[in-house]
Amino acid sequence: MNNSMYLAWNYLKYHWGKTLLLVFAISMVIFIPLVLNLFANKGAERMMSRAVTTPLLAGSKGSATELTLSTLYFREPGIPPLEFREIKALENEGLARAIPLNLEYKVKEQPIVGTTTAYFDFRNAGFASGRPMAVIGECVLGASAAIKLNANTGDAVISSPAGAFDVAGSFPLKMKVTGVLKPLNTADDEAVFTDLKTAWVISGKAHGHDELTTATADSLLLSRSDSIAIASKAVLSYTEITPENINSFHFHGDPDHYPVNAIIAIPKDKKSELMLRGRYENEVQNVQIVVPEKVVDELLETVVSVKEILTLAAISIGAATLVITLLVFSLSIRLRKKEIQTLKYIGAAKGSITGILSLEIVLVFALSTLLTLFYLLAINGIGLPLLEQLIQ
Amino acid sequence: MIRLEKLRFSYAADFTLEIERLELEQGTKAAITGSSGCGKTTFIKLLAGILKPDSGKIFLDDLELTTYSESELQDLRIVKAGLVFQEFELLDYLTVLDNVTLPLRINPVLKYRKESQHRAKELLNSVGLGEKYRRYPNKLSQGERQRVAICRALIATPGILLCDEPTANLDARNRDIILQIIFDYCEAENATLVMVTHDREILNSFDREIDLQQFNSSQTKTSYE
Repeated sequence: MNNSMYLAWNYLKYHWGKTLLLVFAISMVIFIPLVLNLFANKGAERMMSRAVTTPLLAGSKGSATELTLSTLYFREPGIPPLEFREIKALENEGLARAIPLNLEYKVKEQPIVGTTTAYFDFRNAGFASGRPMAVIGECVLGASAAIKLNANTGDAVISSPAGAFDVAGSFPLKMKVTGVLKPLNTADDEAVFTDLKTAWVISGKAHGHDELTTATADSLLLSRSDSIAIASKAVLSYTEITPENINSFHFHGDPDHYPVNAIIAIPKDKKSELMLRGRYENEVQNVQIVVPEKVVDELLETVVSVKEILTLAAISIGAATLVITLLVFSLSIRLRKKEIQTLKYIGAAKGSITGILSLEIVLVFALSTLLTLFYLLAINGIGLPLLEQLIQ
Repeated sequence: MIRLEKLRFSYAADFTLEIERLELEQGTKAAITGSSGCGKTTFIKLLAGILKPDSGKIFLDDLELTTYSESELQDLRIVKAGLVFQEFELLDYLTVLDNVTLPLRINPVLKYRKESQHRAKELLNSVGLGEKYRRYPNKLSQGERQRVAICRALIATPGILLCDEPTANLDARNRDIILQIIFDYCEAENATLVMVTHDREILNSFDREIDLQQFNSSQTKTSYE
C-alpha cells in the first residue's frame, strides 16, 4: 500500500466510529436519490407492463384512473359497478372478448377477483398445483395469496365481511381451493380468484338454504301460499357450497342486473379496438372504455414530475451534505494542527501532508460509494420484490 | 558539524536572538540552557531549518541552510537531523512500530522498505519496547512514549540529534533511561547532540553548555530590546 494511503487508512481505522458515521451519512446522500430513481423507474416499468398487456377496460362512467388502477391492481373500486348485461352487450358487438371482474370482496387482506377461467389464459397464468375453479364455491389462489393465507390446493378459505358495520352485507363463504397459480410477479399473485357467480353468492345475490317447500319445513316459515313461502330468521343460508347443497343455491332477481366492477375487453384486432372505442365514446352513455396504457402513461407523467422534484431535493441535500462534510474535514484539520505541525517538523515532503489528508477524504467517499453499492445490491435482492409488492 | 555565523533572529518586536559565531564539532554533546522564553526552542528550530533567521548563516556539515527552499529544508532535515520534542508528538492513530517508521513514509527522500520494520524493531528492542510495537501510544507510559519518539528520531540514523527538553515530563528513572539511550546513540554514531534542558543535574553528561540567557557561552548572545 502507498505510504500516504497507509497513513490515511490508519487514521480512518483508528477513528472508526467517526469514520463510519461519516461514511454512512454520505452513502445515504448518494443512495437516496439513486434508489428513488430506481424505484420510480422500476415502478413505472411494472405499471406500464401490466397496463400494456391489458388492451381495453370497460367500467362505469367516472374516473378513468380509478377504473384502471382498481382493475389492474384489484383495489377497491372507486366507481359504481356495471350491470352484468353490459358484458353481453359488449360481446354482442362482435368486436372483442370480454372478461368480467368483480372486485368487491376479500379473504382477509387478499382481494377476491370474481371472474371466469378465461382470465387465467389471458394473463398466461400457469398452475403451480391443482386446477381452475369449475363450480361455484371453488377458488384459485395467487402465489403470494396462498402463502399469506397459509392455504394450498384442497384447503379452504373464507371470505371476509365487507365491513364491520355491515356483517350481513356480504356472505362469509367458505371456498374450496382447487389450485394455486405460479408466481407472476404481478397483482395476480395477491388475489383469490373465483367464479363470478361465487362472488355474487358472497354478495348475497345468490344463496342456498334448507328446502322450504316440504311440510317438515313449516317451522321455518312465516307464511306459505301456493306460490310463495316466506322464510323466518330460523332459516340459515349455507356458508359452504358442497355437492350436497349446491342444487339449493339460487339467484334472486335478474342476473343481468348483477354487479360487475370492470370488464377486460380483448379486441379481435386494431380495427375492432378503434371501432369499439368509437362506439362506446359516442353512443354508450353509462359505460366508459379506457386504454390502460394511456391512463398509466398520463399517471406516470405526474410521477415523473414528482420524481424530478424529489431528485432535485436530494441533489440539494447532497450538496449541503458535501459542504458540511468539507466543513467537518476542515474543522478536523484545525483540530489536527499539532499533528500536521509534527509531520512538518520531522520532515514531511511538500505535498505529502496534503496528500494524506486528501486521501482520507477520498477514502471516506470511496467507502461511502462502496456502501451505496452494497445498499443497491441489497435493494436489488430484497427491496425490489418489496417494491413489486407495493406497486402490485 | 554545526556552525552559526552572525545569526540574528527576532520576533514579536521585543525578542532578538543574536549569535555572533558558534561551532559544534561532529560528535559534540551540547546542552542548551537558560530560563523560559530566552529562545531555546527557537534555537533548536533554527538549527532544524524550521525557522529562517533574519540574517546570518547556519551550516549543517557544509550545507548552508539559509540558501535552501522550505521543501529542500524538509528533505534535508529528514536525512540530517532527528528531532525529539518535550511532548513526544506521537501520532495516536499509528502503532508504536508505525510511529517509529513514520519519517520513512512521509518523505520520498527516505524509502520505506520491508527492512525498515526490522530496523524499527531493533531500535525498539534497544529501548526495551520490543514487545510493545503493536500498541498504540495511549497504551504506553510517558517514559515509553518518549522512547518511541526517540526511536522515530533515530530511524534514519541522523548525524545530528536535536532534542527540545525530552526529559522535562519524565521522572528521574525515565529521564536517566532516555538520556542513556540518546548518549549511547551519539557515541555509537558519532552524532552531534543539541539538547535543551532545565535540568542542572544532567549537565555534567554534556561536552558543552550553551546558556542562551546568561551570555556565558563564549560567542552566544541573547538580547531583549
